Amino acid sequence: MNSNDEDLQKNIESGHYSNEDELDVKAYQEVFARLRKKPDMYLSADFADKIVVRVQEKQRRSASRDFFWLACGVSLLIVALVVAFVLSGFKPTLGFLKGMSAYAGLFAFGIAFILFLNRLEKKIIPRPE
Amino acid sequence: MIDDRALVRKILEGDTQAFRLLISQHQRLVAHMIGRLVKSQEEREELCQDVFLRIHDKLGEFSFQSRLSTWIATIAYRHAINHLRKKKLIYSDMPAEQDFNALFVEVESPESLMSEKDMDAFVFRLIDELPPQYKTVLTLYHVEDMSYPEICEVMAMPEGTVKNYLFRARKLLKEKVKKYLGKEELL
Repeated sequence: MNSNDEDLQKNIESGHYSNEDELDVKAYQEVFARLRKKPDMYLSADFADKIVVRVQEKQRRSASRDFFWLACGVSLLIVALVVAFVLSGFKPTLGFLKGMSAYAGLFAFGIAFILFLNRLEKKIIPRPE
Repeated sequence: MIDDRALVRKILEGDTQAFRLLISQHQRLVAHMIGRLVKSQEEREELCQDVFLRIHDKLGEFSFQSRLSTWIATIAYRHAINHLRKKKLIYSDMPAEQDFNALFVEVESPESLMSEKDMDAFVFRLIDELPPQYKTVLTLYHVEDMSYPEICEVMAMPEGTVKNYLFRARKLLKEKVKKYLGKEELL
């Protein structure tokens, strides 16, 4: 670094300059005065609104994508289950299922109740986004 | 006045008003940085929006190792630099000092200097011609009043480099303004 300019910059920044008539000092004073000025840059009045809308759109897209992959996964599982039933010759009247078949309504109610509780929990407890 | 930790927690919990508050607190910082680095008026506001979207995405990773404003400035700086690189508007590194001085200080004739009537506009135009790294150091130091360690963090540069850029940028501007003032005194 040039030590003369370095000293000048330090002195002008701290407000201690010896010779105001010197052209270097004048030039630095002009430069420093402009450097402190904020650049011209204006944002629209609804700048924050536009960002919030974009964030919400992004979250909606992400939720739709998650739902799509969940639906794909569930569909795949059902297909796999059907294929397994067909290939293995599975019959619902075999083994312990034979004894349980009398309580089919109770099982259906159990599954529906669990799904209901799950939905209720989602509505009552707010989830962090 | 809500502190940064509480503000970040609220945003992570999905509080939109808290995010609006963060935007209003830091939009000037982001606008100054983008405004200094990107010349196209049309692209500026969209880039500022992109910066805040990125902040929203990455806020969960902010660990309060630095001030929130420093972290936001870092994102704004990287975003602007990436944009300039995509547009091939800057070199990957600083141009050689000698070449740059010649380009910056000697390219204009005295006549064109004398046509500059407004010193504000003149100096701002000179700043516009500086490399992005110089412009960023000048903005963070003089406009945003950031300390050297904060500027180092934003720009991922050692303190010596930041001080050197600041010195060289101010000297380049001084040389140009000196020529202008010299001509004015002759009149």
